[in-house]
Amino acid sequence: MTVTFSVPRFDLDYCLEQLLKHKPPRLLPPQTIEQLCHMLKTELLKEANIMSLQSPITIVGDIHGQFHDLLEIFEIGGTPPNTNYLFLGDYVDRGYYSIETILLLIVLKLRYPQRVHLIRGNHESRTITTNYGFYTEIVTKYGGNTEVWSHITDLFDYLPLGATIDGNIFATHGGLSPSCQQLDQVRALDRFREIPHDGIMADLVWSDPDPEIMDFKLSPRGAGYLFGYDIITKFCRENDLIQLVRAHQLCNEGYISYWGGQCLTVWSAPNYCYRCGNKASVLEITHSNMQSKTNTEKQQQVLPGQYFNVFDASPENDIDTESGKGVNGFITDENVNDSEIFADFFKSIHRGKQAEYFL
Amino acid sequence: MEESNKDNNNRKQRQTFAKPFLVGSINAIEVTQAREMSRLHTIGRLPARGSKLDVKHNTSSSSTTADTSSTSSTTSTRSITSTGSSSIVSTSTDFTSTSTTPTPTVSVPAKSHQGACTNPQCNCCGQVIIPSPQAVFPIKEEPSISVNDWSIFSVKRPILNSVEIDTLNDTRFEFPLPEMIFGHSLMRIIHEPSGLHIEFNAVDALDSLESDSNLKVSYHEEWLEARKKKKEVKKDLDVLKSYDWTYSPNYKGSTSLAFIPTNDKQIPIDRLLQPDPILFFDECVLYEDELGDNGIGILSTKIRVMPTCLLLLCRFFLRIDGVIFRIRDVRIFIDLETNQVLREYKLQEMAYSEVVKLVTGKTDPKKLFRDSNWVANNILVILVTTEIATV
Repeated sequence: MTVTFSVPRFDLDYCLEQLLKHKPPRLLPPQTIEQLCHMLKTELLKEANIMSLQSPITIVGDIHGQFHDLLEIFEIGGTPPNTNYLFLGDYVDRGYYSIETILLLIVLKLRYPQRVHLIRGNHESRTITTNYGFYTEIVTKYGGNTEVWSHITDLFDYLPLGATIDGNIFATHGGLSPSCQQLDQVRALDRFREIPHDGIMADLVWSDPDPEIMDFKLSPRGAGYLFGYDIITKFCRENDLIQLVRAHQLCNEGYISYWGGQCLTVWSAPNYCYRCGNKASVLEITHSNMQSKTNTEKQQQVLPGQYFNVFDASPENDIDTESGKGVNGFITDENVNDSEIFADFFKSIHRGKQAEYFL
Repeated sequence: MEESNKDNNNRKQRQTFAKPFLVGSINAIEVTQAREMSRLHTIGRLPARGSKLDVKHNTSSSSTTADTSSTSSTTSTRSITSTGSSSIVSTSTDFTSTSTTPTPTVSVPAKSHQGACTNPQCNCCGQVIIPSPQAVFPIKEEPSISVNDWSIFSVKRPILNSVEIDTLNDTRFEFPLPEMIFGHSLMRIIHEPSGLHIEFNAVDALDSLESDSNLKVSYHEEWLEARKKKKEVKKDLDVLKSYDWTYSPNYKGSTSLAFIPTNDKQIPIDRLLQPDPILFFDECVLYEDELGDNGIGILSTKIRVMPTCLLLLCRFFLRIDGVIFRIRDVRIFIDLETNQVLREYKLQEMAYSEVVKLVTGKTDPKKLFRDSNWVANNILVILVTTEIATV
């Protein structure tokens, strides 16, 4: 049996302060992370596999550890709790600040549980995070300590798999599954586990739309699906939906609309991997009534009441990547005041080693 | 609603949240391989500081004179003429070398460069040498340099947008293209007197793909089995028209040079090991695909130009998790004095399970698996061919 315990609100605010008021953002100590993860797990246990949310809401796609760009999203879209947020997963890997990003989202979710919603992406998994950088980042930043990785990947098992907005928009990370015709089939899953290689749970976080096809097709890679027009039309009809909103695929413009807005891809990592030069966006949904479209809505090929707020990479990234500094969350001893709550932790961690010179 | 009322009591907190303020100093350590690479390249771009290989990123230039006096490498007197206050419109650099290193004729930007020079200046000496450490957004860089008869250009642009990808799909490629195509980026070397050139770009590389790939992801069998058992999946689904989803190119560059195979010539490693000053360094990714998060396939090029020779490496690195590692390297070595061009093509491949055996006991082996240099040094070489061309 789990014993619930809670962190007082002012402690959550202190954690927020550590992450937001310092440059680079400060890490939280492993014990604190364990406590935060435990608290959030007990909260997430109450959530259904598919959350029922209402507009107005802003939907955010992949972030991939681009912490400064996450702050940019709050800058253009408003900060919680003034704006409702639904994050579609892929918070970690590839960017330099995976741990800071997921910590900020965890603390925000605990602080404003009704305003911030997180679902699971394919990168919220143990295998993927060891392959794509989150594990390495934690090993480096926490001096070889992998506890933090265990706490956070355990938490990932509790994240919901999708959400409906006003009951007629379905949001998930990847897309549809040939094994799933009814949303209730998703609701009936046991989601508290590592993402498997096959089945509905895998397909929800892995599959992609393909505007060229009608049916499901197998990916030439040997696993995974692409879904076409007939599939999404049928799925929407049978579940009283008007739209599928998903993330998972990089797009240069920050968003893609398929089939006149029936399926949208939202991508929120600008200048992906600090080199792609792409734009990013968040999808702002003010209502889901099927009124007539405005010009912007026609141009973006979205449904009435929706707007892709497109943005570029935060200038903060340049400061970090150009001068080769501040990509780690480490702070020197002189910056830590003994009276600070986390002072012991900061003083105990060591700086990383010098990289080798290669030919 | 209750939540928002509670939150009103905390308006002060929220305001500080919206505007995180700046604090003074930031510290650097390595975080990812990408970070390390960037830093190393920054070092590579600084003027030579003697023969020591373990160069520290040292912004103070006071030790330079002492270091260089005893060694063969030179940090010579430079004169910069720059018109305009901050923007570099036209800049020329003169190298006056000591006796041991021959004197190359260097021009920055390249002699046939069109438009303004975008090569940035060195932080410590102001010399215009090489591109900035990282492209700023929006990425548009066209640094160039001429040494003797040779001009080197590199162009870096953002990934193609959906319209450009659709056009390519309609006109040139029938298969789904890689997720990130830097279709306007390229690396080009031109021999100015003859106009002969060799160029590396993404679109030509994609032209060289096989029509199919016999590789499948690691859980392919398991996945197929699971599918067959499911009763709700009645009919068999089509597979999307097969193509080489690993994007492994058979590409040795787009060139007008006449290469002939040679058995007795090899790229002179000893010359590349000399700590000659690097006049120009750049790297760019041509295309990259994450294989649906089953690994990585990346084609990238790197170039470094020294006073007497240059080395270009165009590397394709493939890792399919649980399946295979593959490296396909093209190295172009040009002796800038004799105008001899060598092209080495090297194929390497090894099963994933074999590579795993090499790293048993390491705390974070997956980190090495993302490092193409480590992989290239550790997996089996299948084929090496060398070709020669003289202009």
